[in-house]
Amino acid sequence: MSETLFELRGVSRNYRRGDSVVHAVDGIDLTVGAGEFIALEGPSGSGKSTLLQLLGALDRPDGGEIFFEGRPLHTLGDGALAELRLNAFGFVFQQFNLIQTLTALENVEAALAPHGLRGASLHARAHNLLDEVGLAARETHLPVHLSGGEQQRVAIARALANEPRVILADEPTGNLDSKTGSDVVDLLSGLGERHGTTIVVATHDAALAARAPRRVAMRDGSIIEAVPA
Amino acid sequence: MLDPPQTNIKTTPYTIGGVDQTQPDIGLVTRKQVTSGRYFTSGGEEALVATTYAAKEKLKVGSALNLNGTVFHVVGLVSPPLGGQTADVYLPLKQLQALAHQKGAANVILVRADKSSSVKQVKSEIAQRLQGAQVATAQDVADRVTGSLVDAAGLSHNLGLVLEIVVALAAFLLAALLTLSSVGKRVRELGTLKAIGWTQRLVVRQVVGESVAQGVLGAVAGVVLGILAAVLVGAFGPTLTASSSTGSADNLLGAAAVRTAHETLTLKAPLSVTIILLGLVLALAGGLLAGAAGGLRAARLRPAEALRRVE
Repeated sequence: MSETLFELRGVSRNYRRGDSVVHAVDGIDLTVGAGEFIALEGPSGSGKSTLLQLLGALDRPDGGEIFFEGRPLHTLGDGALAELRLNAFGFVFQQFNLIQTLTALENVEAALAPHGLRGASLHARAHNLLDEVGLAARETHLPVHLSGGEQQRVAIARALANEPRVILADEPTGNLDSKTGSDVVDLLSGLGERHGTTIVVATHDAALAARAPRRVAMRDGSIIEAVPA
Repeated sequence: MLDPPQTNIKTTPYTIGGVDQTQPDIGLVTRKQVTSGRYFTSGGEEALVATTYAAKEKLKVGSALNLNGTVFHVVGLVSPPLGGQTADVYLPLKQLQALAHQKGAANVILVRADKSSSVKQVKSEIAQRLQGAQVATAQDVADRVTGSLVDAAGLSHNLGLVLEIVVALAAFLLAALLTLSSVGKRVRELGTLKAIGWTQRLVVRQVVGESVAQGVLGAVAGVVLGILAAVLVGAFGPTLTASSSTGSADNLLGAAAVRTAHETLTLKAPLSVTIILLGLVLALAGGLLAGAAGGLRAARLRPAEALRRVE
């Protein structure tokens, strides 16, 4: 196995829903190597999205330990987690989460702005990223004027803006038809191969999961099956 | 059934005051209060008309005024001060006495004290010498005036002041509430920005920057609209009608006189640089504070929590 990127030990995350407590992630142990393409698969409510958010430092565990490149995400401060999200992680969401008032180019620039890029270099970098996902010709369009597949490509370009070591995609094909979804998966896996980026995809789509060299099946917050390539 | 008898008589009530024209500096109306034309030069058939009544009846200097068959010529328009007894038409006292068949009668005698400190004493002495007379100082009269121009002017001033405060507070609250509402609807968007690496500080700075920009635009639009509204009020402003309720039917020479005099005051919306600046500052402050508060609240959320928010 390649160099370890993530190491999870007994990680749990609970939510309070009314008077009851939901164990969204329940004592998970997992190791992810650099450059892997992993699918977290399971039905809605199985905990895959929560696990993805914990991996991407979007949330903190209630119990257990998460290490990324040896750094303990479970104890790092907000600033350090933001720095990791800025420099190490890229996110792709089911709803695309593009800012509706910004053009495709500006959405990508929004991810580059914290890196200090300005003016022509900012535009050029954002343009190149859109070109890489085949959307350079649509860069001046607002999200509302783009198809679902195009919006997801913009989101992928945005996720690539910081040259991340990991791309975390939560149901990236959930709002796309099968053909477009397949194209998006091809794009993600191709980018992973070209850039050596680790890709973790959460999906309930068995066909998409089947495209991943490594599959991790989840039910009720626990891993029930890990299928190595 | 036959039609009942009807009349088409129209009456126009007005007040007449008699003035001793030989004392042009003391009386119901003085020569200093003449706004156009001149004061009485003789005790002949001359009349002075209050500016408001003249405007209402379309009278001007040189107009003829037929009073009970006697034609008087309007020689001047006058604007008596606020708060005192007023009339619509002023005639030389003797002319009015003759017109009212009250020769030698006067029901109001105006007395001027040499100094204000002796007013009380003068009042007391007159009351002693003229038993049964109603003696009132200028202050008493002013105090008894209800619905007068004094009140109308005060009402207008106070109304304007209250409106300014209400509008300023409304601008502040509206700016703050709209900004908070706007930020509340953008929690998911702000969560996305945090997910892609924006720090809490950067998110707050972005929201505050947007709030200030919106505040500037809103304040400028508000000032333009406010100035426009003030100009419109000035052009088509409503008028307040004030009626003096002092005195009785006998006040201005008996039954021939009508008891109330009407004055009008046009409402104005005064503009000042201070008010405009205050409105600008409050609108900006509202947006700025609410932007900072809303931005900070949203930015403090964990990204995962913000992303779960449904817009």
